[in-house]
Order: sequence, then structure tokens, then C-alpha cells
Amino acid sequence: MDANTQLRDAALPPGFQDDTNAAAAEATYKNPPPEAPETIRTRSWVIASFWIVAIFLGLPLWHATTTIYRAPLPMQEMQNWSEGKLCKTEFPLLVEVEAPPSFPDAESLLKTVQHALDDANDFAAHKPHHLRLRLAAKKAKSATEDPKADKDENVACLLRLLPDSRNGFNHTVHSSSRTVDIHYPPPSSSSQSSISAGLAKFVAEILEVLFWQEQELIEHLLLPQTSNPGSLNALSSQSVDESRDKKTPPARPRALTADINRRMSRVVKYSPSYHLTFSLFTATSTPASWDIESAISQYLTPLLSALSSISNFTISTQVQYYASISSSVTPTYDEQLHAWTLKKEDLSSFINSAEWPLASISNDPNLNFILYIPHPSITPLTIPSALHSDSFLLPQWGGVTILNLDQNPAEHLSHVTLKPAMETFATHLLALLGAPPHPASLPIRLDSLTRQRSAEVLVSASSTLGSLQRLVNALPSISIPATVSTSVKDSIRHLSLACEELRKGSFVKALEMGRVAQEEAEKAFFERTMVAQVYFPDEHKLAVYLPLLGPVSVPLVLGIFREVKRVLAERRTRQGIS
Amino acid sequence: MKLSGWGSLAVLSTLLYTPLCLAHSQHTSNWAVLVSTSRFWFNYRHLANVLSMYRTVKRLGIPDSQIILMLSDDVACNPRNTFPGTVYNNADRAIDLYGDNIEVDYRGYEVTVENFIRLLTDRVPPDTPRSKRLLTDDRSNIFIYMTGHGGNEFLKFQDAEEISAFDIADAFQQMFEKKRYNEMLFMIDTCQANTMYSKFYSPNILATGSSELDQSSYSHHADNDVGVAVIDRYTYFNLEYLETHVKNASSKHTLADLFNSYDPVKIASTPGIRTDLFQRDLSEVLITDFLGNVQSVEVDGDGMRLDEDLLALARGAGYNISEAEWKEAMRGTREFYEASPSVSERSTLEQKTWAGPARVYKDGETDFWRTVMSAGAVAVCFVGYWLFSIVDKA
Repeated sequence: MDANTQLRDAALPPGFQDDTNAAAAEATYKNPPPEAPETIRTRSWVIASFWIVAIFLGLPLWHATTTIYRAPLPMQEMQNWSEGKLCKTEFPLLVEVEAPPSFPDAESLLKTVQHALDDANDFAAHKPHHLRLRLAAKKAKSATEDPKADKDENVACLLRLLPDSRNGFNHTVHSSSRTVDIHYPPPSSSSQSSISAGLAKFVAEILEVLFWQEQELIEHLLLPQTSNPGSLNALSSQSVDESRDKKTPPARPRALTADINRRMSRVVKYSPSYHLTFSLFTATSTPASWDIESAISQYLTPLLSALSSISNFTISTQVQYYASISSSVTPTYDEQLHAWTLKKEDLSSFINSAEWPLASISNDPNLNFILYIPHPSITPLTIPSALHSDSFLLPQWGGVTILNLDQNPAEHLSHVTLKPAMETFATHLLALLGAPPHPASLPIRLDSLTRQRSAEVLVSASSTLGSLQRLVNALPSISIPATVSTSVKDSIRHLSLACEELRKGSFVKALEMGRVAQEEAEKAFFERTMVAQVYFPDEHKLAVYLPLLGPVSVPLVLGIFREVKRVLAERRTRQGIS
Repeated sequence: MKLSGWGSLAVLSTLLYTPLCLAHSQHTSNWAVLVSTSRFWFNYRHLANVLSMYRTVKRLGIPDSQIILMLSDDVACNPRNTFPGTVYNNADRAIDLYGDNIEVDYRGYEVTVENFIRLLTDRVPPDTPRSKRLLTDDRSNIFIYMTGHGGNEFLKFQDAEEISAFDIADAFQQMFEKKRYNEMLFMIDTCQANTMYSKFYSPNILATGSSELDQSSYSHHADNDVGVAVIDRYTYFNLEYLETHVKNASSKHTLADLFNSYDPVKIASTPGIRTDLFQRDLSEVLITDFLGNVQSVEVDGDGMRLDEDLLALARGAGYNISEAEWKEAMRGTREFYEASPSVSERSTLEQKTWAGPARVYKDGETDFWRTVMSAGAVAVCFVGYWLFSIVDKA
């Protein structure tokens, strides 16, 4: 009580203090009646219930409403995929050898060749891409001509051994089948074994020539990080370094890497469908039209349908009159060639992107093929560095062909006139899609493209999964909806399916599976709701919470504080009494 | 023994290879993202800044389809504009920046932090048109230019919201993770601009800004007839260099030249350059690697040279084939290349041996019927006209 009154006095402003009547004031000050124990109990219940509500209802509610939903993702699995641990990518190629009945001991020949091949690359066992030889079954000889059988077996290449007394060892690649004819001088009875050995060496060499480039390329693709030596990821640099140490084949000729890099830089990213735009740009008003429809159907459609197992294509065409080349391009007249020439620097800014309507509205990647007809005053316009036709290729973008017409050009370009240009475009298209320039056989090249694309798709899908995994780890405040989780699981499932198909050697199916895996992985990574302005500075959080929590928490804390003080005081008085 | 040999070879090859690939940029396409984050008439200069940059990158060859232009676009047709339908960046009013074709991709209220981050990370709704997307890949160089009102580690978007340096840094990291760029040049002209790039942590980004922490960026001059400042100092001096030195896309001026031209006294703030994330030496980086579009070209006939390379490579790889043998081996290829008409023709002719779904076109037939049809159509027209004229006379 004393303490109470003193406190009260001190709290009084000085003017109110009546020093003379201090004692009287003390006497007249009436204390409130002591609180009833029930009241005290009720009050503590009230305080306790507020605290109970705050702790058991408020906190969980706050937690539930502010936590960011993060669907569970198979993080470890994603990481393993991105590091290539889960799938030992293999590209087993089956090569059939068809020997004439007269040929002695074909089996041993095959064995020798297989040995030679395995020896040629020291690390054959570790290489993802390897060749396996098999003797064509005799009875199936007629069936190999049947395309269906060929397809089922996934034979990469059929070697036909043909005795040829005139030319000695040589080979011809059939341009439209997977068959390679190997001519060898017929064995004379005296030198059986030497011929056989020579033939084995020759066959091994041919197979190397046919497939080594693809082999290197696929290996290169499966080591995605080396393609970009400049970029070291801050988050994953360590793992990258490790994998580089482990996997890099010891000796890769530098020039070869450069060559592969050059090839890869030209190739457009894999997509299930592409859009092709054929444009006729003429510097004058002639020719007014072109027979592009029949030109495409005659010279290009067969190729496109051959490619259809890899990608689909849509085509649009356009004609633009009075299209001038960029002002920075200045052709020079060459007296010796009697022609206007373009230097290589000119070519790189040849496309007048400011004025030529080349933007595509299609969502598929666009490839442009431009047929340019120069103004009569600078005709003929040539590119001296081009050997075949006045054309050039813009990596990942398309191709340009310059067509020089006579002084009095026709109003209409017939498809015969367009033929050479279309052939150039076909070559450009194959190059842009990544088909290898060798060997001469188109089916073998397309098979190789299929394998290359499936490797690319697999690598892209698994690296996307890895990126997503790192992203999820690095940004804890980003929300992950359930759809991402399903997409990721789908992607992983298709990845392993693709991996199995690869092991079986059915590359077209592997590509299909890989395509789905890639799509799903991309879908997961580019999930729209995962965008957030993720960063809130602490001051912002304080500013949001203080106006809400301040008024609520002050009475709560003060209430419990006073209650504790009362209990302590009570205990002290009780101790004093006793 | 052999293994160690391989190892040293590998070391040698990396030693040889690394500087080589650092020496030249490996990009195949150039993209530009140009953002003015402020609106209202008195921010005329920000719009002029960004349109000037737009003009520059277009002049140096980046097509409109690869430029993402984000601006409030409320100045050219503002009732206060004495020169309706125009935007000038200089009191001499020599160049109308708004004049001929400009393509604004995000305009007005579409210029938001969310849209900007969505653009960078490509997390866009599926119905987004191509022109509003940054469709880059690991071979694309991106130039990002931003201007507006900012402060320490933030940039205001249209007085409604702000983007923080952390958000941009995270967005760039996501772009890096998804291999959405090869190299990036980030240029920003706001107050305290250098703080905006201080939080970046993704590789291959080169950043430059107009002013340090606690420094304002100032406008260059006002046009008394327009009534407001028309351009900011930092952008002005960048443009001055680009206009006077980088005449066309084949210019050989480097970014080091551009950065050396910055004069803190003229700019009235201290421009910053951040190079620690960038791998190449600035004196080897052409300005057109970012602000221009120089497409690398492969002239037809490279295929032929490739054969020669191949021969050399094969020798290097240890195939003991003489040149004559090799020529013989590659004869098929040569023929194929020289007569590459056959790509389509042969495949159609020799269908039976190849499973490919080549279709057979009976050219003669279709052409014949087409001729008949068109001739018929023409004939009908003539007859119709003739009949009509007879009827008309009668």
C-alpha cells in the first residue's frame, strides 16, 4: 500500500502537490476494497485464454497463411539425372555384314574387325557410342531388301562384301539406303589369310570413317559443360569441375573440338516442329511471282517427309518487291570476273533486318530461306568465296541464295529456275538441323541425326531438371505448385524410358521419349506461378507486421507482466506474514 | 605411360583451347531489352533515353523481333506535347525518335515488375505472342538497358512498385541456369544506379551504371519549347560516342573504348563498370557484340573445305590412310555434294531399299491437270466477258 501511494505522489504533477496537507491527503486517500479472489481468478483466466488463443490459434494460422507451398520434388533424383548418374547413355550400333557364299570364314573376319574397332578407341568400353558387328543371316538375305525388316532390326549399316578383281579395295556408299558395298580383290588360293587380314583392316577403317564423327559429336553432346568453358556456375562449379575431371576423354584433338563446336554453333535447338519461311526478295518489281509451291513439293517435300520422324515442318512463303540490301553492304566490281562481288564482312550484315519483314508469328523456331534477286545495275552479284552457288548460311537462322537473272528477266520464276536454289536450301536445311555432312548415304545421315538429337534432348531434359533443383534450393521463398511435381516425375519417367530404348538401340523411340521428357521438364521449369518478386527487405517485413502486431501484443505482454508482478508481490507478502 | 601421355595432351589442349575461345564471342544472335520504368509527362527524358537506345540498336542491325521495348508510351501523344506524335532527345530536334516504325512490345500499364521478371525468365502465359517473349538461348547475347527513377538497390516502376537489385540478380541467375544467354550487358541510368548491379552473381554479365551510391543522375539539357528535360547525361554521352564512333555494324570499337570515353565531370556523376563476372577482356569485346547484330556467316563451299579438314583431322587421330585412298573413300561424298540435287531425287527413286516415307510425285500428271484447269478458267472468263458484253449491248 505504501509503495502505491508513493508512486501516486510521484506521478502527480508538481502543481498538484500540496506539501502542507501531505499527511492529511494521506489520511483522506481511500483505498479501493481488496479484490475478491474470484475476480483475480477470472482475470488470470482471461489473460490465459488470450494467450492460449494467440499461441494455439493465432500462430498456426499465421504460419499456415504465410508459408509458401512447396510441393515435394524428388530432389536427389533430379540431381542425379543432371549429373548423368542414373543413365549410362549408350548408343549401340548394329552393323550387318553380308558376305558372298564363296567367302571363307566370315565369322573370323568379323571377330578381327571387331577387335580392330575396339582397339582403335582405347576406351571403347567407356564410350557411349559403340559398334557391334553381326553376320547377316543367310535366309534373311532377301528380307534385308525389305524395308520393314530393316527398320525392326535397327541396323545402322549393312556392309556388302563383293569380290572385285579390277580395282582392289574400295567402297561405295549407296546414297539412298544404308548399304555400303565393299569391293575386295578375290582371294587367290595362295594368300588366303593375308587377303582376309587386309580386308579386315579395310572394313574397320571404313566403319571408322563412317561413324567416328558421329561418335565424337555424341560424346561432345554428353559433356554439355565443356561446350561452354567460359561459364562457371557459382552454385554448381564444384560438381562441374568434378565431372569434367572424371569424364573428359584424355586426348581430344583441339581442332576436332573446334570443328564440333563450329558445327554445333550452326545447329538450331531441337524442337518437335519448325517453321520454314521462304522469301523472294527482289530489288526491282520483277520477277513478280515464283512457282514456289511446286518447287517445294518437288525438291523439298521428300526430304521433309524423310525428316518427319525427327521433326515436323510448317512452311510459309512471301514475295517482297523493291527490297534493298542494307546500306552498309557495298558490292565492288571485279574486272576479272566481270561481276559484282561481296566480301565476307558484307555478308554478315547482308540481311536488312530493319526493312525486310522476316519476323515470324509462329511459336515454333523459325528458319528463313531467302532468295535474293539483285538490282540489274549490280548484276551479276557473286560471292567469290562460295564454290558452288552464290549462297551462304547464317547459323541458327537460315540460308540466303543470290539468283542472278538475265537483263530481261521473266515475270515469273518457274520451278526449273528455282531448282538450284531449292537444292541449296535443302543442303542448308540439313546443315541447320545438324545432319552430318558425311557419309553420302542420306538414311545413314538421318539415323545419325536421330541419335544426335536424342542425345541432345536427353542432355537438355536432364540439365533442365538439374537447373530446377538448384533453383528450388537457391530460392527458398519461391512457391512450387503441385503441377511442377507431376511434370518433374513425368519427365524422370520418360527419361528412364528413353534411356532403356537407347540401350535397346531403338533410337527413334528414344527420341520420342526424350522429347516428352524435355517438354515436361521445360513445363516444370517455366511454370508461370513460380515467378515472384521474391525479395522482401527486412524493413518491409517490419513495416507490414508492426501496425498489426504492435497494438495486439502490447496489452497481451503488459497483462502477463502485471499478473506476474502481482503473483510475486503476493508471494512476498505471504512470506512476510509467515 | 600412355595414360600420362594422354593427360599431358589434354592439359596442352586445354591450354591452347581456352584463350582461343575467349578471344572471340560465340554468340549467334543478339537481343535487346530496353525498359523505361517511369510514366507521366515530366519524365519525358526517360522515354527519350530508351527510344534513343532503341534507335541505336536498330541502326546497328538488331531486328525488331529481337528487341523488347517496354515503355509507358504516354509522351508522344500527350496533350502537353507541343510537337504531337514526336519524341526528341535533343533541343535541336534533329531526330524524331518516334517517327518511322517503332514497335513497342510492353506499353503503359503492362510495364510492371512482374512482367519484366516474367519476360526475363520466360515464365509467361501460354498465349503470349512471340513479340513479347525473350526467346534467347545459350548462344544469344543480351543487352539490357533500364532507365527511370531509382534509389539504393531499387528501381521504381511507374510510381506504383519497385524492383530490387536482388530480384534482378535472381532473375539473371535463373536465366543462367536455363542457359538463356551467352553474355549479357546490363546498362542502367537512374539515381544510385551502380547499386542495382551490385547484387549480381551470375557469370558472363557485364554491368555499367550512371552513378554511385548516394549520387544522383542528372538530365543533360532541357528543350524550352517542349518544356522539360529531354535526355539524361549518362545516356547522352553514351549516345554521343555511339553516334560519332560506331557508324555501322562492322565497327571495330570495343567496350573498353566506350567505357574510357566516360567523363565523370561531364556526366556529373561517377559511372560504374562491373567486370568481375565477365570472362573476356573488355578491349576484345566489340560494342557490336551487344548493341549490334553481326551474324556469323558460313559461305557455301565450307562443306568442301570441311573435307580437307577432315583429312587432316583423321590423320591427327591416327588413321593411316593416304591422301589418294582418302579421296577415293570420300568420292561418294564429293559426288553427293557436287550433285546435291539428288538429295530428294535419289531418295524417291530408290524407295524400295529405304524405309523413309518418301512420296512419289507424278509431276507430269499434276502439271498437266493444273494447266488444263487454269486454261479452262481463263477460257471461262473470256466467254463470260464476251457474253456479258453482248447482253450489255442488247
